[in-house]
Amino acid sequence: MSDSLAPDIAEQLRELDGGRPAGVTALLVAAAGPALPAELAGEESALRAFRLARRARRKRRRAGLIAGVAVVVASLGGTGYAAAGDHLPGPVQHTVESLFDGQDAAPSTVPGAAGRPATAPAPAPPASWSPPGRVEALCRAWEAARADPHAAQVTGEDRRALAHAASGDTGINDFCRAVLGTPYVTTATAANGRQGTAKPGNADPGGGPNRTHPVKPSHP
Amino acid sequence: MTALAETCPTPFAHGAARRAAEAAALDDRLGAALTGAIAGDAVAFTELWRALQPLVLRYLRVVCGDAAEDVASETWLQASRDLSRFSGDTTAFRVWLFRIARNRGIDENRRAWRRREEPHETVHDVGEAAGAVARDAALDAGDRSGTEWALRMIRTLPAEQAEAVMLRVVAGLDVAGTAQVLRKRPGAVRVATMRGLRRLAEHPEVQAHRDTDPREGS
Repeated sequence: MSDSLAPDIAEQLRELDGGRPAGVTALLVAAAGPALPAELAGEESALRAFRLARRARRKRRRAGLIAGVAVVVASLGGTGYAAAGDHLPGPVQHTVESLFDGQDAAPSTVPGAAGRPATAPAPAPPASWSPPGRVEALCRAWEAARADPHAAQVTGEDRRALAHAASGDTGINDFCRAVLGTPYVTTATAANGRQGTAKPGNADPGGGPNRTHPVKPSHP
Repeated sequence: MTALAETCPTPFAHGAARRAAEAAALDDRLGAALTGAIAGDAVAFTELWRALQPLVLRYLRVVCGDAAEDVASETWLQASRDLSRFSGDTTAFRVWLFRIARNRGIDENRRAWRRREEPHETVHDVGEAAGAVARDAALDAGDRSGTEWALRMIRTLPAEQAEAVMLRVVAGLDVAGTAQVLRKRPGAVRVATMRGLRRLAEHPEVQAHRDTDPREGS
């Protein structure tokens, strides 16, 4: 037991007891005196508690390990199941499919994850995304306007929405091709029934401030 | 444990060097026991328990009176559970252990307060119960050395003084360690300890005790 005192305590005791052998000094010596048998009576139960705690900890650790493995297995299995059913968000679906099959993912309903021409990677749409249907509709309008200047024109607002989705004005063409899953569309192959004409579509529909009509090519 | 300054001409400074050496040896043994107990060695844990249980128990007698035995058991149970996460030397371990003891003691006082549904002496108002401190049955049974009397005297102090004195003197913590256990600033611990000792010195029973040395009777 603590029968030695810190210097600061000893100093105070010297002052308090005036060097006499009893008083507070004696009290503190008694308070910190040797262990009494009664104080050590609980050894057995303390030891038992220690062993139980250790055993419980080992069990918890083992259970934790098993649970961890189970979670990993379950999540892999679940992901595989969801992937098989094509229920995952596009990018995850794509990753899981390439992971499990070693093949390219099938086109999914989520824009940006659809099969796209390997040579023209489109910017992936942001995660927070307007409904796919709307984007698709916008893209169709965009492509139509590109192909045919007489088609309904893309408004400035729609164009801004597309630019936002495609992370920039210049990416809209690639983006829309990726969304629609169409091959690179040239004006020459556009399905406007005027194949071979030199008449270009609007390469930049909706461009310019408040422009609602494409610049018409000058006819002779 | 802080070694007794060999320059201190206190009455029990005799053999101070020997005591300091013993304290150092004890700390070495405790260090080995601590390492073993952390690794799950029951024998090492027993050694740790034997060395520190009396200190924990005495501290808890001052904090929560008759419930000390139960609270000490809870303290060691929690220590057993959490020991594998502990890292540090024996000094840090003492601080850690007494922090657990104090928290369990405060919990017990709250439980007791709810049980009784009336104000009672908690760790924070032990001092107000001065003079009406219940006798401690466990100590009454086996103690004729003055330990019981000493703890009863310390319990008459206001709680923060009583705790500071117990942690500094009985538990052997330094000012910083005591401050950590009590969640107070070191300055506050120094003041509480000093006031506690002064108050004890002024206590009539202590003054009456001046002429007898309890060590002689142990």
